Amino acid sequence: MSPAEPVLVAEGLVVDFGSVRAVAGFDLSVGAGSSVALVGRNGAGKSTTMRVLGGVLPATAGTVRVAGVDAADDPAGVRAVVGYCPDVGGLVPRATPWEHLQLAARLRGMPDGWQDRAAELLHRFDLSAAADRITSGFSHGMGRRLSVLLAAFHEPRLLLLDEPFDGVDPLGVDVTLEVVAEARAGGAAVLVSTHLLHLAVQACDEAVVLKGGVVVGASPAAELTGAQGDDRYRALIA
Amino acid sequence: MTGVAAPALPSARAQARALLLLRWQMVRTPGVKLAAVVVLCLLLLLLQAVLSSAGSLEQPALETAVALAPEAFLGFGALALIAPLTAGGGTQVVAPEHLVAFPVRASTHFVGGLVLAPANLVWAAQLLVIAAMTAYLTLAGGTALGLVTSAAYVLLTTVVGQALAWTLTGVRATRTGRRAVLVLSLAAAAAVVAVVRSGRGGDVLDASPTLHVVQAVVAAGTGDLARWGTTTGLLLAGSVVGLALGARACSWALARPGDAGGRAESVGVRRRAPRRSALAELVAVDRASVWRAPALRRGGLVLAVLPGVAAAGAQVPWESLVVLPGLVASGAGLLFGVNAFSLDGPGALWLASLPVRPRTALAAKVLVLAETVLGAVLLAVVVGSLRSPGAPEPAVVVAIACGVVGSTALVLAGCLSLSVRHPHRADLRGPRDAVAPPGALVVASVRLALPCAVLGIVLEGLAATGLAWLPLALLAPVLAVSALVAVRAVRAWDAPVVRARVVQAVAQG
Repeated sequence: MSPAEPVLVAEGLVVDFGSVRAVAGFDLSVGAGSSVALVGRNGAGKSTTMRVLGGVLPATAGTVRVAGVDAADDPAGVRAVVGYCPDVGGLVPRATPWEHLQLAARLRGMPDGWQDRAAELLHRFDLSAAADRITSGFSHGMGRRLSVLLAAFHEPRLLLLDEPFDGVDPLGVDVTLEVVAEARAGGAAVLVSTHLLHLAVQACDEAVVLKGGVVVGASPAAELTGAQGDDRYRALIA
Repeated sequence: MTGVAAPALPSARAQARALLLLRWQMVRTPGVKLAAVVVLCLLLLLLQAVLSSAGSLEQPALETAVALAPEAFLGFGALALIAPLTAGGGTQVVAPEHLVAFPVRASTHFVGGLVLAPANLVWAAQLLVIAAMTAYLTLAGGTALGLVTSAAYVLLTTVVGQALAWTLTGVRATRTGRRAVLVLSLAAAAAVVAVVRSGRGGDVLDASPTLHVVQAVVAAGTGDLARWGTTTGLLLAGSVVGLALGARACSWALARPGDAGGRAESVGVRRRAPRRSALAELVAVDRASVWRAPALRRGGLVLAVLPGVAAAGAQVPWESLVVLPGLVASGAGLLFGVNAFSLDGPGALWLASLPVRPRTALAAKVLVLAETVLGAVLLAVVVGSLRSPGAPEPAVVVAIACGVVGSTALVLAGCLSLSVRHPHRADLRGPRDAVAPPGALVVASVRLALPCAVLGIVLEGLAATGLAWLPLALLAPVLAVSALVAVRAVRAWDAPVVRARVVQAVAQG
């Protein structure tokens, strides 16, 4: 990866589910230390796009490069530098948070000492007391917090957070915003998909509006707030 | 405040009918619908075949069959009691999580469970045995009346089995209740062992209440309508009472706290040491996912213990043990193997984003499935052989070993193929949660049980020749076919599109 190349480059992404085109030519680049909000109506293709960028779903067409690694040539290489928080659950139901962290550390080849970072993150996300309870008993908000924690655990180059604030209490939102800020400070690119515009503005510099699987608008995130910004956003997604 | 009267809910029967229709509509693959219909037609054809086979049976075989009739009826009764117990009440038509927004009566679950009781290969096989026995017992005439008695017996035992299972599910909702059920179960097991060890097992079987049912079936053939009518009437009356009590038991059990397996979710588990490799770490997570699921844990224990104990109790000869591995292996595959990726649940999305080779993730599932199947099969064979009379012939020992290896290979290959090609979302949180929808489970059970049963029967025949190399010669092609099926499933798994479909299915449905 050349120093000038963005951490994430997606070009002409297309995703088809049978006859349904979920993503229809998505282009985006996010540089190191930047964060972009992915916004749009339900069914606009946000989560599908995030899944492709997270290496979960193969694109029908188009290219994805993360930190200079082509997802088609080296999918495992891309997954090694991406941290992904899925929109639904994202947790193995009968495993504990600690077991999730143990598995992530092993599969990502993290050096010994990961336990300290794991414990620190569990403490910050207020999950220390639940670290050895199986996650199927977690509330929705607890599950969301753990999903964000797992995405950020290995300090990825690209942090993908799909609906990270959904059902999360204000303190959990604060920690998530802190984690996003720390990732950016560390040189990571961050992509946040959310319906909560006021939080998108706090977490991101830029906002990209998706409709029908294509980008229909992009602007500084702050411009989508207030009465004027709200009208503009509604006009874009209508 | 003047409230508006709530509309009356439809009856449990009407609600169950609506749920069954929904279940049928939720089957999106035409092939699965077709397979379910084919299985049903096959069962009806087999019923017709066993009913018409009585006349062709030779006299000595017929006498033996008739002598065994009370035990056959007893066997069906035992199955009708045990199957719902292992299912924590009864089979669910639709998972409760999908019904939270609907005013479904508790008794609807009871009715639904009863309707789905036949969606069980062992139940269907035992039904065929009962039908055959009825035909043998009424060879001289009155088969239709005899079948009415047998049907009433099947209904009674199925209803009572479900009612008892719901009652015990309710009792087990509290710690005291769980202890009481454990003590009762141990006492019952000790009583069975004591009876068997005392050598009076035959006397106890001779005094079985099913003797009266068999006599009523015989009475149908001899024209003793008073005896036939009394027993059949009692069986039907018992069924009606069982229906009423079972519905109440189901409502009571579902209203008890802690039914959905919440106890285990609220307590911590002991932290284990990290494993040395990615595969070992994945295996540890998958293994925990199996043993922490109440339905899988209970089903696994019953499957590992019951067939062996039953075989030991019946002092099954060594030659007959050859078929045991196939029966147990196919049952073990149905625990979770036919939909192995459902163990990951919504976590499949996160797991798919981790940098691990897809084949490593697949290998972890196969290893956990292999240890479950092999463990259950070996335990069943060892326990089942404890009271087998005499010493086995070398050819029989080889045939049993080939049965263990061959059945395990067939089940692993079949499960791998089904898991990759037909994934389903499965919650596996509560005691009644199943790894796949009822129809898919029926199709999968046929897919696993049929080759295993054929293998067992052929091996039994080969063992009878006394030639130890013959079972080994059969094992080679069985392993080759299993390997072929497995390799095709692995190649399918290699395709990112297939993996994505599996992940989406188990994570979101």
